[in-house]
Amino acid sequence: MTNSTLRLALPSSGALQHPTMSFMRSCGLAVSRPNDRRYIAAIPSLPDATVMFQRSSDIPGKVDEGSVDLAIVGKDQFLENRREDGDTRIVLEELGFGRSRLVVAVPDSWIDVTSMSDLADISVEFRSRGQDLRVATKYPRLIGRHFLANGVNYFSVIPSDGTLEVAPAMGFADIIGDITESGTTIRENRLKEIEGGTVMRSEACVVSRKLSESGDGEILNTARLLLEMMEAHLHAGGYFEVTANMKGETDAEVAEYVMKRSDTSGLRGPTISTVFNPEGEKWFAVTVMVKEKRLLPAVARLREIGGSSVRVSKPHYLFQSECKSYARLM
Amino acid sequence: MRTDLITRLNHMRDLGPSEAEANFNASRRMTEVLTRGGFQRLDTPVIEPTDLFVRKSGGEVSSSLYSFQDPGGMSVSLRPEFTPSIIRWYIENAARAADSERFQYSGPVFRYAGTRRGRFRQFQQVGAELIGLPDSSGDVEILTAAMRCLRAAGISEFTLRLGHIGMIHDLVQSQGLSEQVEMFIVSNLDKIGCDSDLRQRLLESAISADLVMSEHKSTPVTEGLDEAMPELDVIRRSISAPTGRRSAGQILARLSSRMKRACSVDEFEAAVENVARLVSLEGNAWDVLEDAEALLKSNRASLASVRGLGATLIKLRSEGVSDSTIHLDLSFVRGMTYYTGIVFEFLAGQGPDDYPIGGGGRYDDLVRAFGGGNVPACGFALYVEELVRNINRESAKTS
Repeated sequence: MTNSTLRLALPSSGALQHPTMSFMRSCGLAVSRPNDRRYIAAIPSLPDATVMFQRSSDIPGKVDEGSVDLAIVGKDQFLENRREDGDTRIVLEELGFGRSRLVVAVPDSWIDVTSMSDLADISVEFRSRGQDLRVATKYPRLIGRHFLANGVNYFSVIPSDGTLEVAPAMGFADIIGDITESGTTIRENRLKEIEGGTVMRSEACVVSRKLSESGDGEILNTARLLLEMMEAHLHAGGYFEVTANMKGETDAEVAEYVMKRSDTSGLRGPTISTVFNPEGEKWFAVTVMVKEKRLLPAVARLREIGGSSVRVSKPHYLFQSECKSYARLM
Repeated sequence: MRTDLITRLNHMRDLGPSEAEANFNASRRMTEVLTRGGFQRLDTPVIEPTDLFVRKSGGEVSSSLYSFQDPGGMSVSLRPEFTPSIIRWYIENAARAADSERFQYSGPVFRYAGTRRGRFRQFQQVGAELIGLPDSSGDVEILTAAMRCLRAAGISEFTLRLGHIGMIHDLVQSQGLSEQVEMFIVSNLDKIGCDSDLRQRLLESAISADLVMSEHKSTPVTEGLDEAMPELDVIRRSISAPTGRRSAGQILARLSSRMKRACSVDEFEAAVENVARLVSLEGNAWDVLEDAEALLKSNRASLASVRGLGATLIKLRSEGVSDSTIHLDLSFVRGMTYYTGIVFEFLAGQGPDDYPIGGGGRYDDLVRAFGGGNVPACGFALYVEELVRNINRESAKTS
């Protein structure tokens, strides 16, 4: 590894580990890691980058101190563990995996508690008995702020790394502040969420230290390649490429039909090319990019105006006129 | 950049010789005015127990505290304002001394917020507390003292933005709601505009907090009730273990008191509509006062606050404060939840980087909340750096 090598940190364990590896693979940036005990790995398609596996909670600190340049990490971990006034920033949000919520959960049996304002009451109730409401969490910063912002003034945070859901049952905390995907684990442990108790919504994202054109020239180049691939892959995920054959007199006439509806007018407009047909009839192939959710209406529209043999494929990358996340690096 | 150089923290600032001199002079002129007005100087610790600041300050200030554990394991905070410390001192030392007490203070306060441009995390305040004098006589004294300070410091043009939380409380109290629903409405004034989406969301969150009973929502109390069994017994059995450090009895007691506090959707919406009409009033003080009085009267609400504010305005006029200086805005509530009467701030500029140059209000419940007697109080704080910025601007204009 030289000074011009881009150091990319990825989660070494936890819920994000495997989805991150799949994401890298699907972006054409598969990570080659001989075995799970190796904490340094390579990306064969990006030889100037080195991958370093780190615990999610350590990643923001490593980027802050400059021992890695870029990282994939949950937004929750980033906001909890970053140096707030530092230069580390999110350059690419919403990678499409690791979706979760940081929530406050209380025992099911507290049927008189349904909102944060109830919790504010309860904290006063505890205080009047000389106790603090104890919240077990891996997110003391985010949970503490959320409590204070919602008028819950008397509480103590029990930092905990284990399975938090059992903390109230075991008695080392009264309530918890934890990450959940669907809320199932919370319910199965006889806890419940409360109104106003969602602290944040999280998803995996790419974070970076501040890079400079003068000092990090080669690293910037590698970072650009990496971000270009990720961004184009994410962007492509929202679209289908739809092609249909249509009869018509001229390409302009076909274009007019197709463009009458927004469903089939594509990103910039349809691509229309001539289909050479042995019977001498005039056929054209119409290709449009269609938003994922509008696929069936678009197919219906193409059929309605005489389209046949509709083929649908998924583009792997969709590069825009510029790489937006690259600009955020500097 | 040299790596061995230790730089200033972000959102902190250094004052160079000329700025430090300007701040010192402005502070000195203001403290002289206050001393002449009979305000005794107090100096309290920069670090206090965190509890002192979170008790009544409200979410915005509490969540921006510089809190940490001291080496002995105690949770402490840098002061975000002086008022709690001054009140603490008053309760410990002066509570039975005289009918009314006047204190002044000056020094830095700290808030871990304000990443917006022109905002800093440490700033200098000069302020005063008037403890023991109720109603408009106290309000007028504190407002005129603040305005004298501003003029002495060199601010000749400013607007006094004035609101009155007591009036909102009077109106809400006339609606026949429980104290919890009242508090809910008052603490959500920013969502009570004309935006129907915001209002719908407010209603929904009131419903899910069980402050409003919706026909469509069943409470845990009515689920699976067996008519043969006494209601509380059924609920008691439905409270499955574990309940942690709260007993089933405590949970039940709180549940039943909570059920009594809820109102209907119609009652809630009517109250919100009335409050929305009140807080939409702003502009010329006398017009606003007239409209507010009419609204309060039609709701058979107490007129104590509106009449008190009227008396304050008349006295201000006789003190030489022109009507055009005052902008009455009933939607204006400051961040602190401890205000009970007037709230105000002083504005000198209108630009995007301009912040108020000071503010304050009345907090008649604060002494009691901190363990003292039933003593009314009001006060203000002026922000020295903002003041000096405006003084410089004024002098640049005239030169």
